[in-house]
Amino acid sequence: MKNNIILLPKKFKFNADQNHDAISLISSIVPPFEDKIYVDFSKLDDIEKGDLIVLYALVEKIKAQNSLTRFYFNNPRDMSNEVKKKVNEPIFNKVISENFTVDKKFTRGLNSSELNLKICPKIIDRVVSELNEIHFPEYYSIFNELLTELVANSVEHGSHASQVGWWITTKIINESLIEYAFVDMGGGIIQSHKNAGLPDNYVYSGDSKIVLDSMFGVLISSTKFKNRGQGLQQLKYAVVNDVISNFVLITNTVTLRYKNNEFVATKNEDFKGTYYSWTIDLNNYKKWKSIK
Amino acid sequence: MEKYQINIAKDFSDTLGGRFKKLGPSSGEEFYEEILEKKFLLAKDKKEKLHVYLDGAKGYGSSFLDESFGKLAREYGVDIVLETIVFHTENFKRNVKYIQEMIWDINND
Repeated sequence: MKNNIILLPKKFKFNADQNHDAISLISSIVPPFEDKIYVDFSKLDDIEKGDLIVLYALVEKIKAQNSLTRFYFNNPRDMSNEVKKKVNEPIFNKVISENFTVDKKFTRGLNSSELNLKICPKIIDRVVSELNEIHFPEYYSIFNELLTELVANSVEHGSHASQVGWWITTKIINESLIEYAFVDMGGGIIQSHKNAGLPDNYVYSGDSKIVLDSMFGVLISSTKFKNRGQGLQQLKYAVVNDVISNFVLITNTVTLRYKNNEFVATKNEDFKGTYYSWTIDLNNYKKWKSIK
Repeated sequence: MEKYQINIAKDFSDTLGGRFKKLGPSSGEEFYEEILEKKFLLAKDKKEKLHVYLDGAKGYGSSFLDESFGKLAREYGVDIVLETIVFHTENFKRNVKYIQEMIWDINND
């Protein structure tokens, strides 16, 4: 960020193969944060909900550090039509996530105490139940379990330390697939481990090893309790068994994808948070039934 | 007739939470304190089985399972827990296997 201007690049997409520009922008936004921040969308072609929530999560983090910060947009006539439809300046200035933010369709009818929970099982249930919209024949319980663990990881390791919440959004595509994005800007998995102190054998290893070893159960939880840290292993199980597809994890300096039956880690600038993206369709359900 | 039983979905909740009470409702910690430990001790003291029914719930996260069934084994010992608890499920056999192998660390060799 230069001169308090967040200049969005032409492509701002985190789960794309080329996500360098998007991550680079996020990594450049560092404190101290001024009272006025200008967001320039003029170069941006389009933005998806799953990428917009990363911006919202970042705004939330900025506000946690400087509650007086207000955001200003460039003139709408300088935005593409697609971007104009999707971004909203008043929302940016209202963004405060108590513990989490999800699409309103998942929170309707919930009372304030439910909305103030760090882990709200009802909301998780509603996110899973949305799979009815793509004709899932039965409740996808394994996804309920996975989502509960991702949220738990976020609130225990990410959000609480940085006074930020977790964010999730979904997009139904052609009534046959749902795309998910989940993010918290609480510091990142790798940073959590570094803050807790890594075992000596990680002193000279790269950050990719920290993420991979966490997922494979080689590196125990940053809480140091041996019975903890199963959440990422549960995620790994879901990915390798096709319970979910098109998996992308971005945390700190690592982007992890699952391609051709193996995890592929690439380096990037420090994302300073944790972002997950995945898809679910009926093929995942069929695969799960075959291994259940 | 099963003298001691828990139907988790009916006796506790069908939408389960995470590990700790402070994080939200229907946590593993809450289940352990309110239901599981008490019933386990009753069954154990009478040298009876505790029948635990898993079906009907939306899912069992690993944190929930560890903070309930894992804690039980850590507090009282795996052997007595294994002797006492009988799981019943059609839909969550994988989760029972997880409890036995990953949480209770039972070697199936």
